[in-house]
Amino acid sequence: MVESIFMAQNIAGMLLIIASITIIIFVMGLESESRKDEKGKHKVYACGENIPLKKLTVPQMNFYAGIIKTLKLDALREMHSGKLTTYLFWSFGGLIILLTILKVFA
Amino acid sequence: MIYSFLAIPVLLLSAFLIPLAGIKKENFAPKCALLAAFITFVLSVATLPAVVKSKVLVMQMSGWKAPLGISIVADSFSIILIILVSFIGFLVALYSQKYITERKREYYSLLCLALAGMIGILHTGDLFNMFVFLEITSIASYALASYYRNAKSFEASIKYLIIGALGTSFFLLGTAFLYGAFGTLNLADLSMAIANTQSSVFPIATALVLAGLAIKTAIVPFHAWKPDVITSVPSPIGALFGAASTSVGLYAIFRIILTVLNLEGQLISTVIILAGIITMIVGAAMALQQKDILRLLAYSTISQAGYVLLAFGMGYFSAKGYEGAVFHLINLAIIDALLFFSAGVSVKLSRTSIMDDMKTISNPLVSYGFLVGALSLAGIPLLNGFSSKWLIYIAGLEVSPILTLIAIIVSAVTLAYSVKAFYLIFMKNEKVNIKIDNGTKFILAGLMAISIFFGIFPDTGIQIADFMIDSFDNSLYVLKVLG
Repeated sequence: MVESIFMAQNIAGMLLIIASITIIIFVMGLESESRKDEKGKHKVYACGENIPLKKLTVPQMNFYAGIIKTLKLDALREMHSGKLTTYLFWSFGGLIILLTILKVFA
Repeated sequence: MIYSFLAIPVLLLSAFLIPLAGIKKENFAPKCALLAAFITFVLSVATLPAVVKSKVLVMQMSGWKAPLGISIVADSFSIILIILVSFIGFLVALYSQKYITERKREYYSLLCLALAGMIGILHTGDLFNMFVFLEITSIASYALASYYRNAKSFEASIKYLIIGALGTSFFLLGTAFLYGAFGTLNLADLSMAIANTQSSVFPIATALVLAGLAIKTAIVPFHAWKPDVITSVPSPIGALFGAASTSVGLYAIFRIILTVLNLEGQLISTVIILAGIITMIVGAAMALQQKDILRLLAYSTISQAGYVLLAFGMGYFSAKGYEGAVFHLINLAIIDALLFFSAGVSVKLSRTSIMDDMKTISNPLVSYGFLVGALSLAGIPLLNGFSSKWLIYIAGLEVSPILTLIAIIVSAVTLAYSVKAFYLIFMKNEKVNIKIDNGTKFILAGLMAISIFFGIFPDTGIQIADFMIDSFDNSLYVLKVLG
């Protein structure tokens, strides 16, 4: 049952489908490569007026930073300080945790 | 004969020939590495029918029988990963043809060496050779980490070297303890000895071996070196470290837990579940805060490795867990390669990996490649990431619904940072029209196709996962290796 996937016709079928999707994506990629953007296409209308894109930009960095701060996950940054001593501390810490669990509970 | 094992001498020979023969002809190096990677892939695929037929293939080096001789093994779990790693290796070599323009001999020689080490880890039947191949991969990786020869890459490389050496020391020390206690290093023989003998050093040896491998695989809290290294290497090597290296590290952990230590018990499963959850959450929370795309992808790889661990740990309680773990391991490699390759085009053009400063490439294959990878990573339906995550969610419901809830929340966070990255790289900044070479286009189209295929036909992936899980029961492995 399990080996049925590795029968010649199944493998051939799988490769054929993957190759067909690859070629379709490849050709679609070639066609749209020559397409050019039309001016004015990206204008945004809201409440009867044009709104510049800059005004609509969501401040992603601050937004996520806010979430991280709210969830008190910014303490994780200290763990990733870029200092080798911190990295070594966590590596030894991990080993000690693993040793304790296996020694005490096993 | 295990054909895929022949890939190791082919790759080692290429690694040796490239620096010598490439002195006069600069273009010899990329072509030789590409050919070696292609031969590796062909040999790996050629081994599959024999593994399907006999389940476990064993080759004793120089005719010395186990446990005295060196055993080379290919079973259903390792052969699929060998095919996957050699496929990623081939794509990396192909992608690098246009990407790498200087110090080609050094780069391709190290690439072949790293690949040889990875294939070796997947083939070896004893702990000492696992250590040797682990070191071959690591030493090539330390040198690749300093490829750009600037302050940032030297710093990352030295950190990687020190942390990696610590990992190696843990692994070697654990191996030495096991040898001292049981008198053998052959995985199958060790499995028998551990089952029959009580030893007080066993938990210490286990902890050391697992910690050593956890450092190499970058599992929280042993992971901090990875983002630094991935930020400082060329993007194709980022794909190799993110996609192939992670898979090989996880394989080594699973192989030792299932085959050698026989620790498929409630305690170790709970430890793995906890490690998986922490790795998932820390990876995703850190990825969310990144401004550098390569750093973000590094944390994302760590987070997804957490999913694999979580599912593997749940495998003890629910069969769907193992299916999800193995399927997600395959998908992780495909998705990571797609993300690193598509982001790499943008990074190379922009000469920076800071998302705010990157130029937007208006090439649809690059942007859609990243989008497909990002959505797949987040587990959006009709893409391969969804298929494997769905299995993990179901396994979670069978074990404890809270695990599914955590997995879904982390998936939502994954979607948040993936969409942020896509917006910042491909929508926000100044648009630049560039022509990319056909090799890169085929790589991106091919990986997208595989991603879509396993999303639309998840049964195929599940069947492959079931085939790999067949070898999780170590009785046939032990029987075949020890004869």
